[in-house]
Amino acid sequence: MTEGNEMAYHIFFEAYFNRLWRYLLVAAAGNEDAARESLQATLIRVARHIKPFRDETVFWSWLTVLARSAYKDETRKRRRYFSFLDRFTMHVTVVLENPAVADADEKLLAMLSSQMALLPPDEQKLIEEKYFAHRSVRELAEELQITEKAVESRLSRIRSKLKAAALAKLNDETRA
Amino acid sequence: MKPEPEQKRLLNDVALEGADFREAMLGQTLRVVRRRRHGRQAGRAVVLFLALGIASFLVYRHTGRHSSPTEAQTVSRPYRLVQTIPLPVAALVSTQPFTNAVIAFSSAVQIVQTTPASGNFRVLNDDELLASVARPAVLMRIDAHSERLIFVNSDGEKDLEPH
Repeated sequence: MTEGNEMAYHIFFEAYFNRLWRYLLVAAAGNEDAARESLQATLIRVARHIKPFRDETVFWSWLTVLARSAYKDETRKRRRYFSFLDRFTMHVTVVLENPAVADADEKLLAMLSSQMALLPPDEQKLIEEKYFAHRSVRELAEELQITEKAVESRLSRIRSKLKAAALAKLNDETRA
Repeated sequence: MKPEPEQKRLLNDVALEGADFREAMLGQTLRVVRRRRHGRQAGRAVVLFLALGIASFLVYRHTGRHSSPTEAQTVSRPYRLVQTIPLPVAALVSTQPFTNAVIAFSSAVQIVQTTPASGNFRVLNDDELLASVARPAVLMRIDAHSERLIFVNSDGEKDLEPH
């Protein structure tokens, strides 16, 4: 990566893109737009400042520092934008930073579990069959007597619902 | 608590649901990587070019100093080259041959004999002798022990004659 090898960046994306995205979702308190902008800024900072690290833990710590600073910059930018809007609308928007994102995955997972418990039984069952019983989409389609595409569509809807609920909860927790 | 692989897979899928910007971000990042790589390559090329330029300048100066013609002449030739410039015409002094090339000596020259014993004389050297006469004159060496004072104008001889 330090030499600008593109294949190395593909491998890096494979290994860290999702993890960074989840980290930033928590850091941005569920604000997807801010998380997306921050993620792009983080990746560009990685490309600009990449250096050798002695182990993976140190590398991940460095990535989180970059992600947090990118998010802070993004927040600052957004605050300027919002304060500009406030001057017209006289509406006060409170944007709080999430102070603790030490283990973003753990936090997200806890929220996901609590949101899963609130799903209707058929949706819960579908998710459990797919992710915990390791059943393929084809098997699920045969069992439900619907097409694979329909199963995919249902799964996608449930995931979207879970995501929206988890992000909303993250946001509420940060504001509280 | 470390999430189980199943939980992690679900977490991942849920987090990425609707987030189809991965390829766009990869493309954007790779553009930055390429730009930086090209910048680095250009920087290296500039450094290499400068190094080559400096090296060739130093080599040129080094070899140029040895092959300098003036220095080569100074070292190898056993003489010193002196450059002259022509004088202006006004500064030139021209001479003309005498019209009376032969100067006749008169036999009535009085020769004064001196002896060391008399003590009433002082030995003059050539310069003092020439300085003592106010007329143009030359001192002509005849042999190893005798010289003759010759006046360009014969009037000078008269001045020298005792009165």
